[in-house]
Amino acid sequence: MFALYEGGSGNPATANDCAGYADTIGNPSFPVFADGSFQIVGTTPMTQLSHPELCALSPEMEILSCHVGHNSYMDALDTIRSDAGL
Amino acid sequence: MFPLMFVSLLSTIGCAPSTLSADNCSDTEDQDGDGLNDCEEFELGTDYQESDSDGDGLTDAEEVECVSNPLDEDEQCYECGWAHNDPGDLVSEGLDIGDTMGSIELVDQCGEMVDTWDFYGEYHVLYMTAAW
Repeated sequence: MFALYEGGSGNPATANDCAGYADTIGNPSFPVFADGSFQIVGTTPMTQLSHPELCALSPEMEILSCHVGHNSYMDALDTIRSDAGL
Repeated sequence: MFPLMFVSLLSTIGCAPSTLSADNCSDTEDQDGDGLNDCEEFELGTDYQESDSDGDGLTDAEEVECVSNPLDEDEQCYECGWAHNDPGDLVSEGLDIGDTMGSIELVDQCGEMVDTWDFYGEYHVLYMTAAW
């Protein structure tokens, strides 16, 4: 799941921003959300003080781990593999 | 005499029982023509004589196909095709590692408000970034 907190102009992300972003990355089969009102900051350890940030979520929506940086998705995937016993 | 004849007539022309059960439902009949047979309707608890049990404009079969609750008029198929996975009695505990992430509604690329708990049941990476 992607969540945009700002659009291309630096303003809070809108529905148009996530539609455009989804188009840019090839219309993925996962959601691209707009979170212009900082809801994710209020429900995860992510802060929006760094860019990008990501969290691994379990099937029960448990926050397994959170990371910062462009290549940190590998760390999130490692967490998921470990939790799944793979 | 008349009631007996009436019941006999109903039986002859094949009227369905007024209530379905696991014993008397038919897995070949689809009385409301919605694409779900009567036994499937019984199992789901939907109305086997009404193609749109919750009256939300989508047939029961359409809602089953898109993983939406056919008995909840407020729940309809997401335009982008996301499933409405039911998190049951899930409760958010906080926002730290090890906590259950809270349910929030965000707009998706199809312009619809989506509940993040509808993605219950699978592992996910929530990747927050900016479009610039």
